[in-house]
Amino acid sequence: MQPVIAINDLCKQFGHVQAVSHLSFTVQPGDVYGFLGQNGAGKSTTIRMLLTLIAPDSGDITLFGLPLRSRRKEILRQVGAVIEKPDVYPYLSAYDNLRLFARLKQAHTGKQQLLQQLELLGLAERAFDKVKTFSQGMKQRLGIAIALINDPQLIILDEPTNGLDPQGIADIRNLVLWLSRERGKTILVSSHLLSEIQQVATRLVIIDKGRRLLEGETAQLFNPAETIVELQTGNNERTLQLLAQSEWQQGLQPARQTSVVLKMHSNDIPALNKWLVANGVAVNLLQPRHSLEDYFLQITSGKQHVDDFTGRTV
Amino acid sequence: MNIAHHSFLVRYRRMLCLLCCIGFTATAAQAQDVSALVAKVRAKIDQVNDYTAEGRLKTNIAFLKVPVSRIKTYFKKPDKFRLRKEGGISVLPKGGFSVNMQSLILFNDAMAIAAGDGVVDGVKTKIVKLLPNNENSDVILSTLYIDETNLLVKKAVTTTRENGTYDITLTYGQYAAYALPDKVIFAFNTKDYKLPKGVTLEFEDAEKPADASQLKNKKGKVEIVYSSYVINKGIDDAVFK
Amino acid sequence: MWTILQAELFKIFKRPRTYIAFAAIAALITMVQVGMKADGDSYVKFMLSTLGGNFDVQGKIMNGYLVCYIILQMLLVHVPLLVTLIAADTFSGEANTGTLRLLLTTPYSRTQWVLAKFTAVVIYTLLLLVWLAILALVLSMAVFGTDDLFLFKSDYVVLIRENDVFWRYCAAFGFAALAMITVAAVGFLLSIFADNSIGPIVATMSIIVFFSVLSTMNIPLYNTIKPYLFVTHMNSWKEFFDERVTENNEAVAGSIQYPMRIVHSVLVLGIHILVLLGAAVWFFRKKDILS
Repeated sequence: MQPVIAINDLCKQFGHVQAVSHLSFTVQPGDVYGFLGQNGAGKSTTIRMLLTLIAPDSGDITLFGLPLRSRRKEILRQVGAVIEKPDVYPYLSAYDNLRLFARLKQAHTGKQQLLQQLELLGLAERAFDKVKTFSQGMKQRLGIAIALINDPQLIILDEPTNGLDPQGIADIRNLVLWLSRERGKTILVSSHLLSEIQQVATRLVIIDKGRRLLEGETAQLFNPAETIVELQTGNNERTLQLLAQSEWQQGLQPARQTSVVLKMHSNDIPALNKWLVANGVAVNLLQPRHSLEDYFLQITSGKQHVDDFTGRTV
Repeated sequence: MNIAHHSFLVRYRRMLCLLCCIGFTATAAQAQDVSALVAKVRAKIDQVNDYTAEGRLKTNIAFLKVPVSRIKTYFKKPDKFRLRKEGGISVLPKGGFSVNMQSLILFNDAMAIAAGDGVVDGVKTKIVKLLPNNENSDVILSTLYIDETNLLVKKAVTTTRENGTYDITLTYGQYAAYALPDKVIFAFNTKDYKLPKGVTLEFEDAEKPADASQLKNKKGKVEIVYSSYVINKGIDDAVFK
Repeated sequence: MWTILQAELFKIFKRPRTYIAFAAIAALITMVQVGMKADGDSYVKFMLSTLGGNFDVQGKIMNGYLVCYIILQMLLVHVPLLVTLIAADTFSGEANTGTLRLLLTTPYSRTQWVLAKFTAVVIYTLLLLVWLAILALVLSMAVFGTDDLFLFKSDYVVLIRENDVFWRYCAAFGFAALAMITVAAVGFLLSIFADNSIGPIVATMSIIVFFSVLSTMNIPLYNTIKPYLFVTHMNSWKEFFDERVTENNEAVAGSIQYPMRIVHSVLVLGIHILVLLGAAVWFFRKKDILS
């Protein structure tokens, strides 16, 4: 099957800053592709290169099997995008904004379809209000309505949950899942939060400093053998000593201030719990977390140098 | 447009009448000749009771760019005169005629002196000088050049206190028998014209008229060329109102 | 192309800022007209006094044609600032609101966008001038009537016959349109380089003010560069109101004193527009959209 997006050895430099460095990845039809990285990792630059807003220094981009540079117009007709903030014309109404972009995207939509689109995103009641009176969440939904108006094959959402409240975030998540499952769209969604991507993405790539750190199917990346378990007990110090002399010792990780951390297979968690209770430890909290999450936290918090992990492709 | 005040013709006629009076009061022998001459001139002028004339008014002043305009003049005895232009704006020398000729008319005690002979346009003329006795008169001196043979005033030069010297040159043709000129040229001195750029809002480079030498020519000229006269056919007084 | 031009015009005329310029022009013109209606006679008297007192000028000097000329003299210096408000906002304003990246992900080329947006700015500029013409010329003609146009220039006075005036205004407005489009092109080009509209607006206005001041200073050093400044040529519309004279100093109806000056200015402005627009296309095609 032809990939929807194929990026090969993409580079982009701004002044002395290498924003994107030899980046390659592919997105297959039907994927919800998570594009992860901390702020400034090069996500937006890559997305902008995908949308021809930024010209790459080198490397190839093909969309739907067509070279982006020479087949730009054909390609863009099949793409819908929300890039960073969902910016629209504040002095126009939601309807006028949508109509304007529908025409620009050469979508042949009538008034009824435009209103339906607004209704789909819960904006029907405010359709004729000026956008400057809208909340961030409403603007975000309008941005998505605009991205979808030409019924694109590929939808690119750059940090779609930025600035949204929990309900808004949940709405976006559900919309992404709906678009993927019900409408069969291919979706590239970027975020700096793993938890957000984890729930929707079928595949994901993590980049840092413009370079690919790892890529793979979400299910595989969340390997049960690499589960991190966070443990809080009545006396953490004593628990640590006990564990250090036991069979669990090999999974022991550097301790945190308020908890003990272990790396183990998730199947072994009940056994650990039994062992702790048997050894008279009062277990306050026993929480499994995936190693990828810890790994990503380390990258994004910058605590550990990412080079240690490079090449760790699953 | 009514420009009666500029009716230099009317004043020219008045002046001639005046000259006649002066002529009679003069005492010198020369003055006798002068008065006889002037009387004849006056008699000739008196043939015309009224006339309507069509002509073209041309303004030739260095700093004025004015197109030629068609005008109509009306005259009726003794002193009714009107110059009309069909709409538009007219630029004429200020009261050149009115002020000075009016003063001339007050010349009851002016002195007429025969001042020899002169030549105007190749025609021999008698020169008559008029000196007002009234010290307050604006006119200081007036000189007339009279063609004795045809009894026509060919030229008049008037010097005033306020407005410098005016030259009036008259050319006769078809209507010489009525002492009506075909062409009248009124020449006068003009002052410098200069507006600060702030007033005209012209901040760009100074524009000079086409021919810079014309700027140096401080003599302004107003010229009327008459194409036709209708003489003694009667004129409604309403025209002069 | 037509679609994006329509979209651009739709946006321009949907935003309140567009109408500021129209309102400003209406206010300024009305102000001048009221002033001239109330006190025009003393203005005329003052002007006539400069003739040295030995002329008698009669007729309706303060007529619609003269009022229009006075308005143009005063206003055409400032209309560029109003044009700048929209022109210098073209790309920078969109970059600021973030809509530029949305526009550029539509299936149109960058060149198409530049040309469509420039056309929209040109249309706006032309409409502004039509509005100016309606108020300054047509309204003045209605309020003050028409007659010969009697103009006081700094070195001489020009009288243009009533039936010889209107075409000169048409030509002058046409020329002014070209001058304003040049200004628009400056603001338009600068708008490509900024992510908010204040910068290019101020920069364009500064360029105009700077060059205007420079072109009013009669200093030899500056005089050598004046012919190359577009601002110098923006005033050439006045050439339409100068007649040729014969050797007898008789103005020739329907003539222009220096037609070649106008041709020269038209060429200079036209070249400016082409170069500025060409540069806009070139830079915009290469620009990375980071806003």
